[in-house]
Amino acid sequence: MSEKEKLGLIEECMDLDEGTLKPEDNLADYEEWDSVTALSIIAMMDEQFHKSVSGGTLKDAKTVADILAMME
Amino acid sequence: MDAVFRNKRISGILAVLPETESYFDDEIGNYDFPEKQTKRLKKVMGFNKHRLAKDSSTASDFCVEGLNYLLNNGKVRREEIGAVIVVGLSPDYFLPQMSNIIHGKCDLPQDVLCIDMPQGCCGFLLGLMESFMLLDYMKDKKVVLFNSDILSHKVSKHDRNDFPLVGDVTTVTIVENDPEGEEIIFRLMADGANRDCLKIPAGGFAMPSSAETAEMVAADDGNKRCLDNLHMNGAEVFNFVQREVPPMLEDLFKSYGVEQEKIDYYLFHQPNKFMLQKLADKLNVPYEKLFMNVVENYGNPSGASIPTVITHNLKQEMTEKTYYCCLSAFGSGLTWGAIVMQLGKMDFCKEIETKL
Repeated sequence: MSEKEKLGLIEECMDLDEGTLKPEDNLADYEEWDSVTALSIIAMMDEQFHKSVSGGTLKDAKTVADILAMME
Repeated sequence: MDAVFRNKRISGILAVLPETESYFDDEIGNYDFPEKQTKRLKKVMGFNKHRLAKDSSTASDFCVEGLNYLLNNGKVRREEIGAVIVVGLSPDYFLPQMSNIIHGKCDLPQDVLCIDMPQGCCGFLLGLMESFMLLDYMKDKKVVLFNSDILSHKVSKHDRNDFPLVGDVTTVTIVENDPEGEEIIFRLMADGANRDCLKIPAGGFAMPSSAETAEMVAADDGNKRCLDNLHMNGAEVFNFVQREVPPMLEDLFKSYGVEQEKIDYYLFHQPNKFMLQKLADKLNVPYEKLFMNVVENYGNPSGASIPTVITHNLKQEMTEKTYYCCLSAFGSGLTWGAIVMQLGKMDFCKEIETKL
């Protein structure tokens, strides 16, 4: 999966328009980075990558790149 | 724990609803979040309105109202009752117990067994298990199982994480012996290491309620709550449900030769629409077989969720026909489990509304 596609999945979880996110973006700068997004990311990781991501791991994520790293 | 029960049936379910309905849109102002965010929460989780008990009502009030309704309408007779089981996390007091309060207020005979079971989301499964086991010693007497909570009284109104989803419903279920009853498969699992994912920190003997525990504090998730309040770590609970529930069910079906395509309905605990959709997807269950509409109408009624799914969606059907059902619940404890059984031909299956 390309980086663009991965960013697209994260944008979908955050209800953002396509092309909004860049890897270096700070998650805290987005008001969409909230509990609903956390659940959406956990579900997406499970569906797309068969990975179980804990709430704690997501809380520690600072940038979009940190989420991309979980998608490896 | 696994168990197989035989010759038992559920002969009736009554849901007792508080009359007060509160709408999510009217509560948005209580939360310190941008409105757009909160509306997204509503859409994803499927929130709309929820039922709330009045401040002056207790859980036993709902139980007594429900049992009196059944007694007065000839749905059950006092001399038929062998045991009263009350499952929930909202006892009126530490002492006396809920079952004894109901026993006294409904004027039940002295040989009726009274049991309280503190359980949350899996309360209906646990209550049924206890009922099935007791019925082996009850001959023609019946068990009256109450699933009753008024957790809205324990959740901060300024907590967007926890308040929108609470719903106060009490259910009264009659469980009895049935010589023709088919096999009932039961499984329950526990993970006490993660017990703090759902917690009311203060109010017990470990941390008695005080002025300090009632002090509202801004939590790091942007919500205001105090130590007397119930709090759920939503992300961890969701992760746990996704991880544990589908494999548990798949293994249960395999172990007991349950043919999944023969299951008519999946009657699940009702935390929110999002979680139920994800579960249905993982289990390859069509949405029309797995109801997800309790949260939008009542909120999440804790241990009363499964009987409320039944009375809300199948009130007519359950009195006429029989259906092969998979009941499943997951939550506080952490606890998760399932029951596969035939449900139907009930004497009654309905909801009533009260002034409580």
